Amino acid sequence: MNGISIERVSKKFGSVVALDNINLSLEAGKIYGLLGRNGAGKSTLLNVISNRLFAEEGKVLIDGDNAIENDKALTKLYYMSEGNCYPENYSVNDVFQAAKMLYGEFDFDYAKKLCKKFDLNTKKKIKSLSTGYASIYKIITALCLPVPYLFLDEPVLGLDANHRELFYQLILEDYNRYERTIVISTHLIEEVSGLIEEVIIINKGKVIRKESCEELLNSGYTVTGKSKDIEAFIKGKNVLSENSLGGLRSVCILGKLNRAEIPDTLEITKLDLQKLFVNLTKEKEEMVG
Amino acid sequence: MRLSRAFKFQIREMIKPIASFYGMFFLFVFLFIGLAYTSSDGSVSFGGFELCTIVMLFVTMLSMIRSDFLLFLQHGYSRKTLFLSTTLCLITTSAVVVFIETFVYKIFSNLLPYNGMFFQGYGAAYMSDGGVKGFIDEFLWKFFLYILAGAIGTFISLLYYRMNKLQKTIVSVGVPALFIVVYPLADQYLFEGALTRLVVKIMDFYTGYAFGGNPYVNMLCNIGLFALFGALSFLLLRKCNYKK
Repeated sequence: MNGISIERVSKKFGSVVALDNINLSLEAGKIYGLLGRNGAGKSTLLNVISNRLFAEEGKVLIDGDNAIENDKALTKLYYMSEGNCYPENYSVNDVFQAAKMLYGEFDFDYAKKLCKKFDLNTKKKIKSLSTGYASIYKIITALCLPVPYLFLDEPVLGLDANHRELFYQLILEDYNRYERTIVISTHLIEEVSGLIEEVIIINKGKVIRKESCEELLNSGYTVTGKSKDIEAFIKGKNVLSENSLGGLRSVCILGKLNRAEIPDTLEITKLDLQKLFVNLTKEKEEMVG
Repeated sequence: MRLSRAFKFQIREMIKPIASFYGMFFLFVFLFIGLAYTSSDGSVSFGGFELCTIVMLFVTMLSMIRSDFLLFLQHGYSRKTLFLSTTLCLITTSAVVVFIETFVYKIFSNLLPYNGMFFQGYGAAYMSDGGVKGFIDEFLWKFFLYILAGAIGTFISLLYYRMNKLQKTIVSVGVPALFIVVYPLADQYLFEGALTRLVVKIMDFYTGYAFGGNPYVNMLCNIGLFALFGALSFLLLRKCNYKK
């Protein structure tokens, strides 16, 4: 497996630029977090990679093969989209059968096990499922297909906290099982931050960051302490965000941490990925504006 | 490999609507034969059920292509494979349907004389008994007619999928208005019947009546139209984007 290479991909919807000259490579066997604000171009990018939408410019290579109208390349991926692509009269069982027939392989035993864990009735018609269960049947389908590339667009949409925890656990189990590339597009940034190896941040159709989650989190730090001490400490530093509660103040700072200059009165913790994301996308927005 | 999987899947999907259709069909035919036996003087015959099959294939393909488009995209199939598989599926289904009907009508004709569309239209060319040639010609004639009905269903479905709301409204209102209002008025007041005479001429050519009721002309026309609608469908499908 060589991975997926996205080269100079641009896509417009009328006058709206959804993807603007995107260059990106997805390595084999990594878990990626695709982050971006609403309308940033995340789903459009996944739709272009999976050949559902045609890009005006550029190409997508899956293991070196052009993905456009190429069965050999497309059979290597499964894209769990937010929208439903199955006929509404299908039951969950029908979805599994269709996946088996069209991909050639489907782990029914594992599907049965997962349905039990999520308490999903496979005889139910998919049109009668709640938003949460509509996500669940798609998650199960994705996890039971042995494809090398999985794209999950808003996989936890409508899921309660217990099911979300179960999903994150299953993703890690799946990674141990297949060691495949998984791209998770989500707005619940903090929840996936422990799961993803690499973060791709997309804003206004452009990739503004692509680096390992560790690196990104090490690009700054959070400092907490009394308001007066914090005030003195943050002078001349790049402050991402700040919160105050009573006399305590918590500030996210972008930049290298020098332990020697930290007073004993302040506590240092890791950077909050969500705050970093909010700041990065806001910053970009101001620059564009 | 992928084409074979796609084909098997679509054939499996086709079984349900066809089985439902024949369930209703047999019920209707039995009722008809029963009624004919009890209330007629023995001069009743039955036929023309091919129209029902045409409608069934048209409607089935109309709905199948659109749902399979999304389903195939979901499972990583190209539009080209979908088109090839759908075409193969239509051809196979039509052949099987004609085959079933041929034997069903043969059995029913022992109970009540069967007068199918083919012999109603081209019977004169085969005298009273079609024989083997008539049997083969009827088979081929129905087959080409059925694949054309399916191809038109596919084309209309894809055309509507590609159109935006305004275009859909224009076509949905415009086409019936053209045939029901514009055509008769224009023909009567503008062309003084010339349009109708042209249509009759075209229909005479299409049916083969212009050549002495020759069914082969009609078969060739249906093959040509099948190829035309197939090509148009492919052009529509080739660059078709996913819509939520």
